[in-house]
Amino acid sequence: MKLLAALLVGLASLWASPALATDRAHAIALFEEARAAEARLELAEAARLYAASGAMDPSSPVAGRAADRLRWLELRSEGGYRPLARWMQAERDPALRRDPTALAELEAYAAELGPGRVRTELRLLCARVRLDAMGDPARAGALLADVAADADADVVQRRLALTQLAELERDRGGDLAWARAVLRFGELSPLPVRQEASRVQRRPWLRAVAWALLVLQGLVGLLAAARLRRRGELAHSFRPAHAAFSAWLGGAGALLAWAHGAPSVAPFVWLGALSLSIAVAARLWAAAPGRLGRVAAVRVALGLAAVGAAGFSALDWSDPRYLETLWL
Amino acid sequence: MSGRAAPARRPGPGERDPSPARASQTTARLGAIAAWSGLAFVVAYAVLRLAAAAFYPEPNPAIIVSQESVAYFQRLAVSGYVAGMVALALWSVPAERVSLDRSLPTAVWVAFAAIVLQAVVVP
Repeated sequence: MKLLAALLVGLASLWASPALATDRAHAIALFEEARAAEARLELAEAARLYAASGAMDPSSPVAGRAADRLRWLELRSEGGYRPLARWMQAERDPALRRDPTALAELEAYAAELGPGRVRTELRLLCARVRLDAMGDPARAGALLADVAADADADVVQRRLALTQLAELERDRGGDLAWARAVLRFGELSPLPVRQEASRVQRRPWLRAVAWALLVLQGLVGLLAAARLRRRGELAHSFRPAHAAFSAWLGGAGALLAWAHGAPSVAPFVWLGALSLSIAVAARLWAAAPGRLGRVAAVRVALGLAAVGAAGFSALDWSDPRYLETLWL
Repeated sequence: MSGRAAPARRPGPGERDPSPARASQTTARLGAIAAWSGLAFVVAYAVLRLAAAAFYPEPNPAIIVSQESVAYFQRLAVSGYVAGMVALALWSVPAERVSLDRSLPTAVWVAFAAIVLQAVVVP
């Protein structure tokens, strides 16, 4: 039975194959003609030939590629393919990389175009040339920002432009400039990138506040020390327990971190040193004569804030990446 | 002659008070510090165990070939670190603020509840 079925299938294919082979050859020839037309920038003709190739033999080896090219061309068919032809010509033209006037003309042409993918592609091309060949990151950034801000552009192209713009800004102005660029077009970036940008933008403020708190605590401690010294009580204001606590906080913490295989013990060392200075300043403040020693609530509040600032600074000075684990 | 004994001179700043009352106070203070730090150790262990189970689940021991450290000993070490901090922090505050009779009984119940909760939830 199986032998009979195989015989029938063989006979059918022998009968059908001459017609199929003719269609397939014709479809392949049309595909090659379409490619040649595309190379000559006769894009409307290329689209027609790609469509004809696919229709002639949908199962030919070139049918998939023909359909892909047709779809690609149709997505960029605005203006009767003229803007697309201009863009493709510019892509191939090495003189554009050396000719600022031609590049400026191309930018002006892109600015006059209506919404569509080709306008975006042209702007991305101009930005690339401005950056790589002309060394003009400011103008490249402006073009990329135009693409990212273009509500009519394809969202993938807008994201691509934003990624390039953010990296460009990072090269020019560091992480803060990168974060500013990301947050300027926040809706285009994934949530983790936006969160990271927010953290990067917030960090200088936190750093400034931490510094201010630590300096303020230190200044008050120095003021209190001066008053205690005038009364001859400075030496009795220190307690060995403060040094022991800070040594434990920094030393034992560093030992634990080392034993657990942490890449660095620096945060604990900083924390121990800072906590000692805060504890000494707070103790001097508490022992200070006059009104200074009586504002206990302010002293406690500033002391607690300074402890938080010390923790932040210990991580920040060691490696700011530690702060990311704390959402700072 | 009033017959009254002259009041004992209070030690000046930085001077040690050698009286028996002072020694007794020191013993009580050390006891309170030890009790508080012991409770801190228990609470820290329970919190670490619960937090690790909730946020950093341990891998199946059957599929681990070797590991650099044992989580149990890590938790003990970190709990000891916290207890040491509490002890030294209490040592640095004035003696009259560290006592056994005020909030320590409540703290004992808190520590007991924490360790029981941990034992029930994550044995």
